[in-house]
Amino acid sequence: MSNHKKRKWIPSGGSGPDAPELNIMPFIDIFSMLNTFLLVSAAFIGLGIVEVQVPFLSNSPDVKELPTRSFSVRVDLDDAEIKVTSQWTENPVDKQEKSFKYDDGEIVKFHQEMIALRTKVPENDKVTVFAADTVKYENIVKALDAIKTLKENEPRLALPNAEELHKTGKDFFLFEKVVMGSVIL
Amino acid sequence: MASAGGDSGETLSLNLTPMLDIFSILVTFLLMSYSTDPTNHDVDQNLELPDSITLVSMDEVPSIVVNKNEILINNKKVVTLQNGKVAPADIQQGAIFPVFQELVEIAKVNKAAAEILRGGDEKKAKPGEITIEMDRKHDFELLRRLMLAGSQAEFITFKLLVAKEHI
Repeated sequence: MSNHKKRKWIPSGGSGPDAPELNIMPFIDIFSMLNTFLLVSAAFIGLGIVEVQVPFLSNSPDVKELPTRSFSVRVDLDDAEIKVTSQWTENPVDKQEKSFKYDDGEIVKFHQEMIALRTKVPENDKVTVFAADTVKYENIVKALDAIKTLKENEPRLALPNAEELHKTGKDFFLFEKVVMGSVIL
Repeated sequence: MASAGGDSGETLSLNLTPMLDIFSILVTFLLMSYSTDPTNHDVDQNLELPDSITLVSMDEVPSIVVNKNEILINNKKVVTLQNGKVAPADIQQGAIFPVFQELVEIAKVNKAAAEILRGGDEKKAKPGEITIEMDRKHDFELLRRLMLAGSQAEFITFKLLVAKEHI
């Protein structure tokens, strides 16, 4: 058995005159410095990119032969509405046109239409966008979002190359290639 | 412990524990949102980026900045905008000529750098890419003219800088 005298336990922060107190001033100093550093270096806006291409003429000899009958999707952006035209290049062309507004509800419908077109012909991953000169840049980005990107909470598409897209981290793209058709001389 | 002494001889001690709690929570929050992304860029104060749901992060600092009043290329002012429009004198073949001139120089530098990296390999050079940072209220006409200038200078892929809705 131990002969040591048992000390009386005094809870910290006790009000007795002999109560030991933890010096928390160094903690506060460290936290103040950390806060200052983190607040200065914090990124409160996440910066992303939306990639688009412009039409170009290539004199490259290794041009792939296009299939005789291919599917094309065209999106026309106007001040007030978005018009989607889809058709086959050869008969039966099966041309379809749908129009949408820029408000949130209609943009969701437009996005659903783009998903339907992507799953209808999985081989086609290109959309050509024609925008009027007066369309605001923010509306163009809104439309490009609906064309290009699946939302985080949306299920990924069951495309033939879904596994490969998942491996390369590109499975969140709806239509990866967007060509700004109106940017031409 | 911090204390305030009065004339009466009594000592008042400040309870610092709640302050410590607040600091702990703040530090935790800031550490969680701390970005170690190597590409760091301060957005021009005279522009507002459009919001986007894109999941692609910025990978290079924008070369073309279009704020409310001017167009800058690599931080050099090349065009002054009048009510968001380019003066007719600066437009040639539909493109913004001063922008085209600057982009040609950038394309030359990029081409030389790419040739050094390829080590004299005769393979075809990858078409140019360029990042544009532009105010959300501008019209497409301005973007079209910029893209035209870019395509004339052999840039065919444009990365539009946006503010991500989900960081």
